Amino acid sequence: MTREHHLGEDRLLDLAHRLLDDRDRSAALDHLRDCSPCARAFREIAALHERAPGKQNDVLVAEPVGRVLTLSGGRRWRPLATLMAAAAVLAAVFFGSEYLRGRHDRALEVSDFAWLPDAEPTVLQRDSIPSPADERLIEGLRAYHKHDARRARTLLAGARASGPLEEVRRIYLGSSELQLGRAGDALRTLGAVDLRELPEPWRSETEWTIALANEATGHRSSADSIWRNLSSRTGPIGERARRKLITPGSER
Amino acid sequence: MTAKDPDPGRWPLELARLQAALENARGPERETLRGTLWRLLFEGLMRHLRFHVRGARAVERADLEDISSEKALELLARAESGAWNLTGRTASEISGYVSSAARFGWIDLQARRKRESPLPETHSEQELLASLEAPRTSEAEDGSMTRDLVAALRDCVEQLPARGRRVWFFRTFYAMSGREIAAHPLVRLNAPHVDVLVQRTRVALRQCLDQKGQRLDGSPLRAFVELWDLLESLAAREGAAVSETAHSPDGGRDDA
Repeated sequence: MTREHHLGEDRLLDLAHRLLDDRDRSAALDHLRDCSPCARAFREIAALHERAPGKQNDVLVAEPVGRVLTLSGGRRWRPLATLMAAAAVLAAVFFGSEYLRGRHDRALEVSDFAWLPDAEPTVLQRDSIPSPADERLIEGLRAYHKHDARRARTLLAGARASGPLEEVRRIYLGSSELQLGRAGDALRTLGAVDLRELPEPWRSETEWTIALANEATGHRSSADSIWRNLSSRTGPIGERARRKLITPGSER
Repeated sequence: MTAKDPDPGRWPLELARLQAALENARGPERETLRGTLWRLLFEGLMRHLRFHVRGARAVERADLEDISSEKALELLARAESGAWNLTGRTASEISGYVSSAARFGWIDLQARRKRESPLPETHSEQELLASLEAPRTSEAEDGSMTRDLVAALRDCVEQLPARGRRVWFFRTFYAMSGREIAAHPLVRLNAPHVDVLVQRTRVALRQCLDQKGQRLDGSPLRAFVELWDLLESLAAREGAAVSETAHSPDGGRDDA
């Protein structure tokens, strides 16, 4: 094999998976030693091969499904309020960037990111068998609850929901995306959420997320507009917003 | 090499073998096979996705991995249920099916994002070869120094304890995070412990190279191939492949 004839990705994949016989393996390695582009390509494939077991753990949900979700009738947000009201104590916390880096990959640079309040699905009876998409939504919320933004994003992005559950999925997905530094994605995800229908404190916290995403994508005037609106509210969210307006960028 | 490699490789037939083995497997063995099959599907999908997205704007690796993760799960479900039966299929047929799944995943992502990005065209062989041969100015190498350094590195790495060697290699050449390394079945440490082990190993390597009159500045690409081959050989000798997933409870617990 000469340098002019590069190794194809299929051959490199075979090499990474130890599917080549001794002769082909030797020939492939000899080529890689002399061909930088192919060596670079192989390094990428080999790196993915070693990261795959970790991804597998995130995706293959092995435990049996014991939870189902259901929606009751009534006002649009009643089931959502019930869903979220089953949560733990509301906690609007500030995470310093060093703490996030120590815990997760690609931590958000902005130090005033705030995790949404926890939401645990209410365990209720339902006639139909939950779909894999429901399981993914549940597992995604669980991952978010543990502040594992990467896993939450993977699962929530792959989940499918409708009605109020879709709003739940979007606001937690958008928050995960922002935490991972994907501010543009967060804006797109949250852009479809009708904030007027969200109960507090999720409405204010989602507005906070949107403001941060606007700031991160260079839309400072939009961010300021949201913070001005939030600053008129009482409680921790109002205080946070007022601090942002008084000393913009001081918390980075 | 053509735009679509005429030789589809052996991995598609390995998918068929794994599916067949899965049919009769039960318990922990079945879970192991499921995991292996998912991973090969994941990597095969990534292989095809990289081809399909060439020329597209602003493609992030994380997006491709998300598509591949989701599609691998779907294909696994189809393979398990028998809806996708690989028995008797050629490698080209299997690879083509995976390629189609990758392409549909890419199209779905674009539709989800409501972007106007043009769908990737089929690229000519010349364009693909040109992209492979594009030089990277940051990797200028002095051939003779690199060979000496590579030889010294190889000796020093061989002397390292197995787990430290593996952890250092994953961080240095794959830029894997502490969490990713910790989750690897042949490592199985806490993420903070990974960072400590990487640091200790770097110090040990530096001292070893100093004794040989060498210094490691960055990571010469040429060393990667030598060291990858070394780790594979050592792993085979030690009875656990670097590139294999060990699901045994004590996988990787070979040193500190």
